[in-house]
Amino acid sequence: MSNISTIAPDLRPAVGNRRTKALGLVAGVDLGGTKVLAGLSDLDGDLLATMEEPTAHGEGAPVLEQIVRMILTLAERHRDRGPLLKAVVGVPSAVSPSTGLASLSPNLAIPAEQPLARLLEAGLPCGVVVENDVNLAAFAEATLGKARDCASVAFIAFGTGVGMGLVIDGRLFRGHHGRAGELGLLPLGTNPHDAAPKARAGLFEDQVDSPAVRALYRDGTVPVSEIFLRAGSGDGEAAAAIATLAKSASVGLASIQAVFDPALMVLGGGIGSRPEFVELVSQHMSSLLPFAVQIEPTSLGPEAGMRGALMLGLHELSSQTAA
Amino acid sequence: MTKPRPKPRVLSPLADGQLVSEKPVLLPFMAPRLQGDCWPDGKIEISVWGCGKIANLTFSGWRGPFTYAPNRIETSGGGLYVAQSAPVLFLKGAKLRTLVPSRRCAWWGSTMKREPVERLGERRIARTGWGVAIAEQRPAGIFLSAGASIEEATRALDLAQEDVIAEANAYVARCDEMPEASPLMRSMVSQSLHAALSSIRQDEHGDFGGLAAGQAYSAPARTYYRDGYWTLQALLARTPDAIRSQIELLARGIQPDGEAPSGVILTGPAQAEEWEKVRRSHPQIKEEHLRPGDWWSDHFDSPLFFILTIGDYIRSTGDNSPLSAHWGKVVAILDRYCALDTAGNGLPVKPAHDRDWADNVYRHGYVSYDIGLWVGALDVIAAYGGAIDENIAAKAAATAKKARASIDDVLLQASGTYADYGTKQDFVEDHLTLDSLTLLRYRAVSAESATRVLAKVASTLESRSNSDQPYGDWGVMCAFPPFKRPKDTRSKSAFAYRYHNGSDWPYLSGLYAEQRLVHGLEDAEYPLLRWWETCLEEGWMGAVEYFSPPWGRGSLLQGWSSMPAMAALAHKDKLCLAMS
Repeated sequence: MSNISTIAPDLRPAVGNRRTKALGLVAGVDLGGTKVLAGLSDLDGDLLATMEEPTAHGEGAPVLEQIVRMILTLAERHRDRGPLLKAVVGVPSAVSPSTGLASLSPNLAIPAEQPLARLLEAGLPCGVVVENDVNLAAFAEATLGKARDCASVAFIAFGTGVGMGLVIDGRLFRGHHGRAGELGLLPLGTNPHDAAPKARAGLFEDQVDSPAVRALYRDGTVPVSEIFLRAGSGDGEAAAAIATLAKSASVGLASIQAVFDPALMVLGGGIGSRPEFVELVSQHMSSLLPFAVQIEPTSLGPEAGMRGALMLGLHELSSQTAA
Repeated sequence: MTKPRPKPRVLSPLADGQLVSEKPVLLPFMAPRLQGDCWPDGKIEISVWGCGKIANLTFSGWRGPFTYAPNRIETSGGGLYVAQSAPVLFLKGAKLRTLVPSRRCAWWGSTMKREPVERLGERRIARTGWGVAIAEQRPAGIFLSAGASIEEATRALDLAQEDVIAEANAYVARCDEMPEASPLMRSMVSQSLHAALSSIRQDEHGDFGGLAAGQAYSAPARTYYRDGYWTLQALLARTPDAIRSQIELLARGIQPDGEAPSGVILTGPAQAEEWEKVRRSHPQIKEEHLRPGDWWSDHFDSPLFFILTIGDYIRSTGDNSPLSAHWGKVVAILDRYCALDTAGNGLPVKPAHDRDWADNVYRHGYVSYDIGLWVGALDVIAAYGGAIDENIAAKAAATAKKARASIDDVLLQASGTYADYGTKQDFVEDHLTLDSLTLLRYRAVSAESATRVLAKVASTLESRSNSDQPYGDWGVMCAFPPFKRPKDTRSKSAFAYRYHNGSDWPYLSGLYAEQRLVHGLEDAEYPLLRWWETCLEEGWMGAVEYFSPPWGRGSLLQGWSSMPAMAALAHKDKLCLAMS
């Protein structure tokens, strides 16, 4: 079949035995209000396994034991691939870069005065990093996603709430208190001084989160996914609600662009990952800014936070050995 | 930490130099006009040089195992065959499912409304504002052609099925230049040489259209000084006419003051118009691309590669005409770099910017890589310029002598290697880099120094010997340890072991292998083949641009990743001796 000569008298195998790779594992966890998603990768970054469980709430912080157990279970299953070298846990809260403290939901009952990383390290054979979950999704975009070749990326999650992660030249920009990206607090809208103290979540978030979208359509009880579905099927009222949402969102995004000028903005979350939403937002941006802005929906899906945790763990390992 | 763990291969090399996989693997292909990606489970993205992305086609009918060769896939009852003489390919045994025209020519292009696909019997025509694709279902499979115009695409369909297959098979045979080698070496040489041969592009009139940096570096169509230089190393003896034409294209980008961009843009008319809109409006692009024909203006190494290209061409062919034709530009470049010699030691000082090969690193001061190129360029002027202007040639010779005498003083480290960049008065990044081997290639340092450096490269940059890096045995790092001053790095290179910060770049691994062979050292096989083993393990079909664990890979089918094939073929006798 081939027209290449099949007569190939080997001189000798040019390279002898097959090469070997280093052994070691990294765990990444995305701790959410309703579920915990854990993943395990080898040092090549290949995802070996994932595990998902409902989040354990209640007194005594059972979620701590849960996270440790999930990580150890995954690591044990793949112990032939080496020891666990690093774990990174994403949490839905700002994490102070100086103290490591995070303001997590009271339902989790995690002691607020102790860094979560230290509490988890007590049960694990490796160092632990705790990071804001949206920051981790941004890190995933910067290393695996559409911003792989970009010097800077802003990842903005629109869903139950709104949040942002910034990666600039390979580094997460957290801010002094770890609050960089608390986008929901942007004082957007009329008369913000009076409105902010009464805000449900934050002035911007009140305009673009899921409750806000639901409130724009009929009696406010239709789920966001259903509103998008109906808009796609020609429901004019649903389409108008999405258009209003996109217009509001574009104001926040234009503010980010004006302040940080990222090479790319990637939108994620239940609302932000919808291409039709991204297209509408992009259209509105053109009247707010005198230059073109590149906005894309995420390609990483709901595992972005966990994948970002794995990549940050691998990055931390690289940096440690490089130092 | 390091224990044996062989990774299973997705692709296996066969004795005839082809590769086989059970599961479908992406095959990038590139012919003089046509290029694209083929997923053997039923999808093709098709582009045309100078036009951009034209259409996506989906098909059914193939089953594994899949056997791969340059620009060719064969399965039981089917296969992909790409013609050379016309922009057409044949999908044997395939049934056409969909043909969808692209909405934009490239990521930076405006999004256009799709025109409806025209159907004429078994023929479907997809039109865009920048090119046309035609798919035709025939009894034996699908013919897919594309072009800048309907005429070009229609004309390509005139090629008979057996002619397309014959041209595809002849191309595979042309790439197979080391049939006596082991399957691993033979397949590496075939695929690596393919990267160079396929980089020779044509415009719609059949004229030379530049050396493409790679299949993913084609919109806007452009040719780079540095990528082109390393790519043409494998082409000098094989296609000298293309090199002569390449020099003419590169000459267009040289400015009166000796400056040159990273690359020269070579788009067709429709893409040129679209690109110019972006060049003038995109916030980042308009800052980097200062003139209409520039791809990223003012790169420090580009003018030097222009002179080196001329020198290599003369050395290979004996034809002195490009130097005479472009003597004014050569002198302008000489003057430009002499003016950067602030210490009077014959060495130009690079400004602190990110514009040379390491374009994610702000290197400044004395840069080993650039100084190697500088000395090589001076030698070209000294060797061949005398017939045109004796004084200039003498000046170049004197400057080269002074430069050689100064290098150790400014760059040599206690370890016996040469620093990456910096000045002693300010900051020196003293880690070891593969790109500093330009000092060896252009004999800017002594043979003794070269041997010492190569020994250090083996123990430091070959990952199998370096247990201070975390990933075991995976390739040849382009730098180690990672950059010590984070503010000097940006974007991908800000991550340790990623991109310029330690990835394996097969073109640099090829340069390293070449220097081992030139200096009579054994074990060039590791840099020649370790990267290729990774491609086989990961299922990366084609000569990859760069890679590192865990950061993944760059583009496939990258022109300058032909350097390993060039080194292996140019020193085959030594390799044979080493292997016997």
